[in-house]
Amino acid sequence: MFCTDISEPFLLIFSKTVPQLLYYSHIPTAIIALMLGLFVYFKNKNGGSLVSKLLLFISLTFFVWSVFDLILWTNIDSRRVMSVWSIINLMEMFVSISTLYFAYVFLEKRDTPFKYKLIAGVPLLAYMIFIPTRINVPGFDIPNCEAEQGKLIYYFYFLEIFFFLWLITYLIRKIIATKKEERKMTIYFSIGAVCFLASFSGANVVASLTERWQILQYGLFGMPVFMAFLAFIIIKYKAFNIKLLGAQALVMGIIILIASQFAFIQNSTNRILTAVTLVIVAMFGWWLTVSVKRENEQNESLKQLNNIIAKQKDRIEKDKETVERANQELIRLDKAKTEFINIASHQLRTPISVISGVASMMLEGDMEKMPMEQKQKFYQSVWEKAKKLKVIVHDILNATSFANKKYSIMDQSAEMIDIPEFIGKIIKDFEMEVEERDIDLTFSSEKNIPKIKGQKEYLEEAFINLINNSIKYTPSSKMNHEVRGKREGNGRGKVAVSVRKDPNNPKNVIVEVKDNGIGIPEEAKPKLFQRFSRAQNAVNMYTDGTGLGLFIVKEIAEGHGGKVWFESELDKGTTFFISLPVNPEVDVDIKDHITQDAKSNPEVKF
Amino acid sequence: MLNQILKLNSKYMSEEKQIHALIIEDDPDQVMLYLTKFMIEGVTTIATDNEWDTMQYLLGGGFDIVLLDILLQGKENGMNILKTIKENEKTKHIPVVMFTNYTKKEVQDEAKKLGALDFIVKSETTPKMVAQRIKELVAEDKASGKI
Repeated sequence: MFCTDISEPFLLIFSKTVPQLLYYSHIPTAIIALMLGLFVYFKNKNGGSLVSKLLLFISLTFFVWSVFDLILWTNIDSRRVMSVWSIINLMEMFVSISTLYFAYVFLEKRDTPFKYKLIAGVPLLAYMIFIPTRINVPGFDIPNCEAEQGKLIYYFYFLEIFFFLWLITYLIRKIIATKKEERKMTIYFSIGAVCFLASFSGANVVASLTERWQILQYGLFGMPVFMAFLAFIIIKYKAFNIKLLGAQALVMGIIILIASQFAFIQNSTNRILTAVTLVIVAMFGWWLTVSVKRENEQNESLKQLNNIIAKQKDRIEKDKETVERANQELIRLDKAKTEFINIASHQLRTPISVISGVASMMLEGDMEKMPMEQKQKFYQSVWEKAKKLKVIVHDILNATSFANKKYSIMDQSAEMIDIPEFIGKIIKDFEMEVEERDIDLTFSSEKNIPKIKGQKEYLEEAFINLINNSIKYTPSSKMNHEVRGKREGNGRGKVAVSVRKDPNNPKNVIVEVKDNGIGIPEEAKPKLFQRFSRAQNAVNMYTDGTGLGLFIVKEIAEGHGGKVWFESELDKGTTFFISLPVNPEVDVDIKDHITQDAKSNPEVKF
Repeated sequence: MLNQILKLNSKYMSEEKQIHALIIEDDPDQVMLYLTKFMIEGVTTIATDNEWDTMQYLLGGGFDIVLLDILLQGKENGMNILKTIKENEKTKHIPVVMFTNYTKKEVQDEAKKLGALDFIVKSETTPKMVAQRIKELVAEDKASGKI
């Protein structure tokens, strides 16, 4: 069947017998909407987020609807009209629902809960089921060239109103819940969305109720309003994470609107005027776009520049801190060195003053006047001071020279050492001293300790240093002239040396030296193994220490592929541990080790 | 041995011409060395190694000069003893000479500021020279006292 009220359309939608306003209301709005949808979708940096997909869907369904509507206006083939008629309302429903969905996702920044999808989806599905039935389109009205409205249309009205009210309720609640800037944005968005749906769906409902279809055309203008608001929001709040240029969108919109006037302009004067307007607007628009774009780019590069400056500033601050710290460390080291030189020179001068003092008395003939017993005491003091001088010189030279591989194993002179036996001998040498100081020195060892490969003279020095420290810094009931500090309260001073296999690493042997002495203050702990480092309580107790003993222990332990550490509580005692591998890997180059250490440690160590 | 010297000292103390010195020193070898040589040189000397004993001796009177070491046992410190001597009305007139191997510049300046007459570095001299210097200083002190 074919209608006879109008003529056959050209290219499906173009007909001269329909009101020309029809094209003006449909084509530009549909194109603007589609372009905006596509623009947002493709420019979205998040690679097509849900919001941009939904916006694209709205613009697509709106576009399809516009085309369908044009088909209905212009076509005369009843089959074509009826099939389009039956699904155009579905398109409209899609626009409504997806606008609602879009509003929710855009404002909440997350997907809607499943229950909402169910509430919206089930009635929609019910509607879709009835589309191909006679309830939707019962017949065709030839005189008016329209399909007849079925009962389903009332259900359609109901759904449209339902979704519309839902949207309004949601938006109002959202506006109330949000604050400040976000509320402003929500309000703009709501005005756009409501205007759009109210004009689009509202006009549709009113039109089909009154059968005055011209109303529809005015309703369509809600779409650009909505789109304008959306564009505004996108620019103002950088929604969608894109830098859409407002001017660009505006110019494109105006050009499309003006160009589409050609569709219904009847006389040639107007046509020329419109053409001139279009050219001027296009040129002006182009200039506007370019200048806005340039400004925008400048802003962007300024922002980037600011970022770079901020980063540089940050880096400089950090560098400054590092230098500052290194400087502090150097100052500390310098002080420690000066202090060391003061102490060391005192240490060196004291025996010299006695030796030279006695020698001067010999030259002056004083010795001959003395009884034998007294002479002997003078000679003894010279001998003692000479020995002490030897030890001091040895210590200072050891610690201040970085002679290559100072404390490491040299294959030709390395020996297999039975550690328990070795330490047992060292302990014996301390018997006199612990008796004098009235301190208990004990030694215990696990059985079957494997022999370890090492340099006897170095390991001896390490163990002696640790045991010596423990004895020195453990107060007892007796003092001697070198070590001061008397034990307060009950209990005797105790130093316990023990040897065992490393439970974590059976190939290592651990030597433990435990005392109940003065302990190490927290502030001294981190720097304990550094050269010239001495804790204040140690200085009080024993003035003459050089601060080199533990440094030497550490160098020896590491030179043997092992390590040294400690546990300590102030006024309770200290335990030192040396862990040594049974078969150390090839000798360690101390120089290299120190260079590595300095590189890996931002704090300047030495 | 030390007791012997002390006995000898007490014998000499009564004689008028003798110079009486107090040395604060905690190393027994040095005490023996200086006490012996000073005695030979005619300077009667008593040794202590802490502030309390020092002040007891000085408040008792009769000392012409004090030889003060700096690094001493435990919390004892020659600089503190110097301060105490110079703050006490009864002892502040006694000449004090710092006699040490500790040569830190700041400490030397500080000692001079606190009123030490001289700063003698042990390793830079001999016991005999020290005894001579003691005599000089005591003589100067006596002379200035008379004027």
